[in-house]
Formats: sequence, C-alpha cells, structure tokens
Amino acid sequence: MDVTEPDRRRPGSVYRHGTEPDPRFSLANERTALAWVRTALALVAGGVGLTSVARLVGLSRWVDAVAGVMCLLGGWLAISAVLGWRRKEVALRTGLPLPAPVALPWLAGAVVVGALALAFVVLTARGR
Amino acid sequence: MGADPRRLGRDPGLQAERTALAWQRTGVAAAVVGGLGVLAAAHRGSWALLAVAAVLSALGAAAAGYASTRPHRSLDLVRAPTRAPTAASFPSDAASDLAPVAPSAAGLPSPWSRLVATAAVAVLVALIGIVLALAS
Repeated sequence: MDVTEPDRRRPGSVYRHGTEPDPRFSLANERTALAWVRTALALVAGGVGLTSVARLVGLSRWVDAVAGVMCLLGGWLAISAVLGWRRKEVALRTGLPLPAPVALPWLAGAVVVGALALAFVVLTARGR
Repeated sequence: MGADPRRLGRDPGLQAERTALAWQRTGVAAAVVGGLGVLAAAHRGSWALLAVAAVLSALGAAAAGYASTRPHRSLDLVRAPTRAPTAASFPSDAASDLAPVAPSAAGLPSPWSRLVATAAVAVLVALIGIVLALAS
C-alpha cells in the first residue's frame, strides 16, 4: 500500500500506528463506541427521570443520591466510549488482540447495586 | 426485497449504512435526553439549566439529521469483493460478510471529532442531571 501524502486524520495517536485495517472492522468499532454512548445517555436519562419523579412523589433523598450516581456513571461511560474506541482502533491497526471492555463489569456491577438500592428505598418508603 | 447489493458492488453486510443508522440512533437518544433535561429544568424553574439542556437537545437532533442525510464517504470505501454472485455463494452470507476487503489507500474518515462531540453532549447532560439531583 503506497500512501503518497501523509495521513492527516486525527487523532494522530491512532493513525500513526500500523496499517489500514479492513474498513468494516473500523466501522464496527465506531458502532460499538456509539452503542456505549447510547448506554451512557440511557443512564443519564434514568438519573434525570429518577430525580424528577422523586421530587414529584416526595421520595427520600436517597433516590436523589442514586440518580446522581447514575448521571456520574453515564458521564464516565461516555468518556470511556471515546477512549475505548481509540484503544480498539489502535489494536485493529497494529494487529494486536482487542483490549477487553473495561467498563462492562463496572456497568453491570453498578446496575446491580443501583437496582438493590432503589428496591431498598422503595420498600422502606412503602412500609412507613 | 430490492436488488442484491453484491450486484451493485456494495458490501453485503451494509456496514456503512448500519454505522450511519447507529449515528442517527445516538443523535435521537441525545435529543431525547436533552429534552428530558429541559422538562426537568423547567419544572424546577431553572432557566440556565433549561437553556443549556435545550442547546444540547438541539445539537443531538442536528446530529441525527446530519447522519441520515450526509453522503457517506465510507460507502465508496466498503465494497464487496468483486465476485460474480453465484447461486452457491448466496447461502454463505456469514462467510462473505467477513471475506477480506482490499483496504483503500485513503482509508475511512476518522469519526474522532464527532465521537468526542457526542460524548461531550452526554457528559454535559450528565452534569445537568447531577446538579438537578443535588439541588434541594
């Protein structure tokens, strides 16, 4: 493959490495990053919705705490989606094995903890 | 069904189209979440948060519209291996989906700036949500 002009694509930290991969794998990597961004947006939507409903119904401030953590996790996931895209694209270009999805166990763990916390809040609120 | 994409020299896996649709879904999701932020901020009477959320929502909607209309340069780069579609090759969709494609010298356009912008929208809406959750 003879590239006559230098690669101007950004970020250079990705496109400096390796050779051009199969474009379909790059596109799949792009879609995976977008799926992570949508997961992040879903968490943020859940957080904003939760704190709004808690305010309307008069649930305890613990619900607001869960909502805040959901928004925090959503913001972090959005950043991790971009960084994950970069790491995977470098792996694709250099032919190295794909890195593991770092955020996945954290996301699953947070969903479990958040669900348990919400269940606790809802059950204790009904008991009062 | 329409024409077989392989006859048109297109990627039978429709990777570029699927990627454009993924951008569209993400833009719609951002617009919806921004709209949710607008509603929540309006309910609290916070005009500053309302304005920020409205701008973010509009950005999401613009991204969705752009993704669905822009001529996708990737379409020209993702072509199926030039083979005559034979009856024998038709059932092996999964295999042909992964058949090697000669990479073009120019390469795919980088999604970096659009990815960063979309993630920034998500982070900003998340900040709005945190402010709403913390405000008494």
